[in-house]
Amino acid sequence: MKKIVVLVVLTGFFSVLIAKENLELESLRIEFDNFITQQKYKPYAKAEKAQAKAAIEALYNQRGEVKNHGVYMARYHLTKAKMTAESAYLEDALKETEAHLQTVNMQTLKAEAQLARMEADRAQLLIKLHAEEAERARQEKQTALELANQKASEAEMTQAELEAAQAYAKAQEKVAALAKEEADLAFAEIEALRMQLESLVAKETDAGLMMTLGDFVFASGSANLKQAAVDNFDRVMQFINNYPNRNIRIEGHTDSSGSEDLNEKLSKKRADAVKQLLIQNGIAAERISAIGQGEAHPVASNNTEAGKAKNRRVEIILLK
Amino acid sequence: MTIKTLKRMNFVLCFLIVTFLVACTPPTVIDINEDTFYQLQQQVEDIKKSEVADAAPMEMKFITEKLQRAKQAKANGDIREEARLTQQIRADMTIARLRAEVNGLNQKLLDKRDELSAARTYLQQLEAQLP
Repeated sequence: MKKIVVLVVLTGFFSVLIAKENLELESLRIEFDNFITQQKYKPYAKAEKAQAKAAIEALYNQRGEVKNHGVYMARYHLTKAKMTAESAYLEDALKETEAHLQTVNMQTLKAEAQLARMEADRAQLLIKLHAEEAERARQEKQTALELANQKASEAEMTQAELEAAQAYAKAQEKVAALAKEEADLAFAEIEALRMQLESLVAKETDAGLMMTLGDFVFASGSANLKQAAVDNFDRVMQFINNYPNRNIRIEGHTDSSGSEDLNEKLSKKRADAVKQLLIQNGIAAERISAIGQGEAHPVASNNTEAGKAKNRRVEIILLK
Repeated sequence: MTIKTLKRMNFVLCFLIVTFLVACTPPTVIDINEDTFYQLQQQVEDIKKSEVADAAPMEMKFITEKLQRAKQAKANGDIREEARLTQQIRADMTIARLRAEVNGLNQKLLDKRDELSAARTYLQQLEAQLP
């Protein structure tokens, strides 16, 4: 009876022991099943999973210390499978993240390039605007400068023109004054000439009636008759026309200045000039003779200017 | 119940006990020799000096304890225990290396995801500037 009791006790003890070992084994089995059903670890650590499964299944045939060690090693295989799967999963996740990062970096590069292009375009536009602004400013400055130069030139020209006009006006004024003076002088001279001509008187000489024209009827040093003398020759013509049947001799005389030859030629030319004037006034040329006496027959002293003036003369003689 | 019957039952019981004990006799798990412990000791020293020690402190604690037990088993001439402990220590070192590797990969992934997040934020800022 005692042996039976001992047998029953021993059987119970071993049953409890086996139940405990089976509990650990079932715990491992459940952990393994949970692990292999996780979707994210399914593609990974297949060899390690197989090792873990074999190690766990082997535990069903083990007992005691061997089984304790087997449990430990089975857990090791399960843990190794889990960590290998986790490692592979992480590596894939890392690769995937790296790929996403590369994609984002590529997009970033494109965006940066696009922005850089925009910046470059904007900078180019700004440069162009600045260049245009600078060019416009330069042109405005150039225009202003040209305008200023033009105004300065115009001012200078105006000043110059004004000065020229003033000078011209002054010159004109002088000319006018001179002209007036000359006119006055001419008028006075003409008037004097006219008065002299009108005051001419005939003088009876041996050769006939003689009228003496002073050298005032000639231009100085010339044989040309003054226009005023020509215009006022009426008195002379009246004198001549009073004796239409008489021939006329015209004698030219000079002072002693200069050479005799020159004086003779000058006197002859002056006599010829008067002859031509008479002809122009209707006197027949046949009636007229003109000779140059030179300085041979002075009527006054040649030592004074007054005497010389008297010696320079043309005598119109109505011959008897 | 006769005496004969009891003798038979006693025999059967003894047979069962002997059979159970034989079945539970632990065979040598891995082959080890005289130098195995020293090689293992050197491997443990190497791993303690590596970055694995910081990444898997729990495994390192187990390894250190089991190495002491293996040393004791060797001293006691308990080859089976030394062999089991040697196998477990090697397993623990493998797990420690894997844990360090996983930790490193986790950290890398976190860093990479941070980098990705920052890159996406920067990209969004850039895209906001685009027409």
